[in-house]
Amino acid sequence: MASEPNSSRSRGSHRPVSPRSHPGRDLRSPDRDWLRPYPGGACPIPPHHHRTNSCVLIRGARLAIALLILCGASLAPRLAAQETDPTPPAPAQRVGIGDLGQTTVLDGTFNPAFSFVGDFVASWGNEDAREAGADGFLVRTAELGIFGAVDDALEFHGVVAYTEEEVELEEAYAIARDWLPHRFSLKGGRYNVDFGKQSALHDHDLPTLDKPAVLQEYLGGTLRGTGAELHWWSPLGDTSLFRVSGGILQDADGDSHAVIGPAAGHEHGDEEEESPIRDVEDFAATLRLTTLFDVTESSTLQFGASALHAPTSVFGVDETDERDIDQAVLGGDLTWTCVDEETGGGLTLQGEFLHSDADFGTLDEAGTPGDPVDDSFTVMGESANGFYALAEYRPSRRWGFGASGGVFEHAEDADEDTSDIGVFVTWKRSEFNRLRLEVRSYADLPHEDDGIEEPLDCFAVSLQWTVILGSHGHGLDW
Amino acid sequence: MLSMNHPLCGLSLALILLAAAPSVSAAGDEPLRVVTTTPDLADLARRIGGARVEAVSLTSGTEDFHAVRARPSLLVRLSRADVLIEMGLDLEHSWLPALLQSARNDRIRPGTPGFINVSSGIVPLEVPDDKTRKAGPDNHPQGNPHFNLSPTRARTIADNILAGFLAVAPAHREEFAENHRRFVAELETRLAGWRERLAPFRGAAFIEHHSSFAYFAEEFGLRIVAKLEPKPGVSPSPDHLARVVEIAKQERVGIIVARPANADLAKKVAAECGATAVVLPLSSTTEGDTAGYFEYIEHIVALFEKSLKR
Repeated sequence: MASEPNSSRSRGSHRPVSPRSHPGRDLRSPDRDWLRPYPGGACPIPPHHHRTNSCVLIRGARLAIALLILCGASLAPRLAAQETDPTPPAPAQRVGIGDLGQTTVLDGTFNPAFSFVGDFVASWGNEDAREAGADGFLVRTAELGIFGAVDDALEFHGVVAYTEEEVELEEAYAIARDWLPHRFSLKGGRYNVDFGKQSALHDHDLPTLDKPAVLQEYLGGTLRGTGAELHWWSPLGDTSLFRVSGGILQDADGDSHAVIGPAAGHEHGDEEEESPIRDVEDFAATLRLTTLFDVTESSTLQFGASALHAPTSVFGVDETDERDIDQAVLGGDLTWTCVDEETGGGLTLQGEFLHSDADFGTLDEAGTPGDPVDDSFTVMGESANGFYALAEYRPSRRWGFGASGGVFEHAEDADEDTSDIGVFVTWKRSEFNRLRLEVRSYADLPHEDDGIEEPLDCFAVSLQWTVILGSHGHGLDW
Repeated sequence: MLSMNHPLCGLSLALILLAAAPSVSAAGDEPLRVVTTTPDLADLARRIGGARVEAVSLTSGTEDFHAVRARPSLLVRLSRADVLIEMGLDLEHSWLPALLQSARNDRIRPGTPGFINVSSGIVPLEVPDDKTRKAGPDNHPQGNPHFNLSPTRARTIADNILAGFLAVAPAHREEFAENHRRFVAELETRLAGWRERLAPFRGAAFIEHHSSFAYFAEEFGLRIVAKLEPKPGVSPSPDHLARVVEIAKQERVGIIVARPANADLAKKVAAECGATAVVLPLSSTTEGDTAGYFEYIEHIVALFEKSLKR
C-alpha cells in the first residue's frame, strides 16, 4: 500500500508534517525560508482544507522539479541501453508479498493485544494456616488476556485463567464507548462487577496477597456475573467528578483465588458453589456511585457507595416448594492517595465497610430418610457487618510498605466474627516483575473440614511473585 | 419483566435526564481551551495562540512523565478541552490514553484537528534496535521522546502547534502566524547566544541518569559518555556504577545530570569522579526559575556553561 506523502512517523497524528528537523542545522539557513510567513501574512503551513493554496503549489513545483531531475538522472542510463538493446524490459520485480495486496488468509494486521500474567505464591504457617491452605508452592493463576477493537463501536476483552485445579473463563465482555453519547459506556457479557474498590480487581493487581476477608465473606472475593453494566461520569466543578454504574446480572457469584481467607478454596466452578440461574424477574442488580476530588495537586480523595441485590428462587423440600432466597450487600469505601510525582512514591489509605443482609435456607431431613413428606425447609435472614482498612507507604516507585486488617461478622451467623491483621512489603524490579512478602494472622477464621466447622487461628508468611508479559493496561483507578 | 419500581429503572431515568443536559463548548470569540501534557507545550501554545488561547499543562514539569497519576482534574480538563497538545513518541503512553478514552471528548480525539502531536516531523534519536523489554522495562521503541531539549526542534514543535491552531481556528490565521514568526525570531536569537556560550565546550563529555539529553547534546556538540542506568528503567548495580566512575574520570566528565528523583545517586557518583551533579526536570515547569521554555533552556545552558570541563 502506498504511504501517504505526509504521513507522520508518530502514532495517531494526521497533521500536516512540518519539515524534518535536522540536528545542528542553523535556523537562519536559507533552506528554512519556506517556513517564513509569506507576504501578506499567508500561512506557512496550511490547514487540511487549504492545501491547494499558493504555498503548497510553490513547494509542490519545487518538489516536482527535483523529482524530475532525479528521475531523469536515474532513467538516462536505461534509456541509453534501450536504444542499443531491443529486448523488452523485464516485468517489475516483486518487492515482497506484503506489498502486493491480499496474498494470505493469515493476515495478522488486526490481531488483538495479548497479555500473560503469572501469579505464583509460596506460603508457610502454623498448623491452622496449613489447614487453611498456606501449605507450600502454588501457581495461583496464569492468566491470558486478549483485548482489541471489534469494529468502530465495540472493544472485546477476554481473560482466561489457569489455576492448579481448573481453567476458567474469568471475563469475556464487549464494551461500547464511543458508540454511545454523553460519556456513557455499556459493558455486556461476563465481567467483574463494579462494586467497591477491590472486588473488581484481578488478584495480581491487589495491593495485598489476597482480597480483604470481608469481601471474601460477603461477596465471595471477586463479584463476577453475566449481564450488562452501564457506566456514566460527569465533572463536578474543575477538580472533581462523579461516576455511576448500574448493572443487571443473571448469573452473579463470587470468585476467589485467595490463598488464605473465608473464600480460600472456593474457586468458581465448584459445583457446590455454582450460583443459581435466575429468571428474568429475579435478575440481580448492582449500583455504584463514586466521587473523586483533587484535595491538593498531589492528593486525591474518593468516596464510593455500592449495592448488590440478588433475589433467588430455590426449591425447598421438593420441586413444588419454591422459596425466595434474597441476598443484599451494601458497601461504602473511602480512599485517600497522595503521590510524590517526582519519585513516583506516595501514601495510600483505604477502607471499605460492608453490610450483608442475606437469607439462608436450611433443609431439615429429620423424618424418614429419602421421603420429603416430613422434611422441613426453613428460610432465615441474617444481617452482618464487616470492614477492612489498609495503609501503604511507597518511598519510591519500586518499594511499598503497608499494613492492613479487618473484622467481619459471619454472613450466616452474625454472632461469630473473624479478624485479621497483616503487614506486607512490595518490591518492583520493574513494572512487570514484582515480589511481595506478607505476614498475616487470622483469628477465628471459619473453616469446614468433613462437614465439621471449626474456627482456625492462622499465622502465615507468604511470598508472592507476579510477572506480566505483553500488553498491560493503564486504566483509571476510579 | 423488570417492574417500574425496580432500582435500575430509576437509575436509568436519572442518567437519561443527565445526558440530555446541554454540553458546554467553546463558541464565538472565546479563547480556545488548550490542554498540554507538559509545561513546555503550554508555554509555546500561549506564545503562538496569544490571547486566542487559554493553555494549561496537565503536569507541573517535575514529574516522571512516564508515570503521571491520572487525577480527576486531569480528566475534567481533557473533557472540556478544544485542543490537546502532546509530545508523542510514547512519552505519555502510561497515562494519557486512559484519560483520553474516558474523557470522551470528540474535539481532541487522535486524528481530529484538535489533537496535536508535536513529534510530527521529528527524526527521533536513540531508536533502539532491540524493541523488546529485554532492552529495559522503560525501553522506548520509538526512540528518545525528550526532543523538547533541542531548541532547533522547538521550532518544529512550534510549527506543529501553529498548524493545529490554524486547523481549529482558521479565522485567527494572521494572528497565529504573526505570533509564530515572533517566537521563531526570538528562538533564533536566543539559540545563537546559547551556541556561542557553549561553543568553547564542544566535544565536552557528560553523563546522564536516563536517556534524556541526547537532543541537547547533539544540538550543542556535547558527548554523553555513560548513563547511570545500565538499561532504561533498571537500577544500577555497584559494578555498573564503578564502570561509570571509571569512564567519568577517563573522559573528564564535568556534569552528571539527573531528574529530581535520582538526585542522590547522581550526587554520590559525581562526588567519586569530581563532577558536578545537576538536577533538572525534563521540561520547563509551571513555577520557579525554569517556568517558561526559554527560561528553562537558559537555565540548562547556564548550568552546563558553569560546570562542563573543556
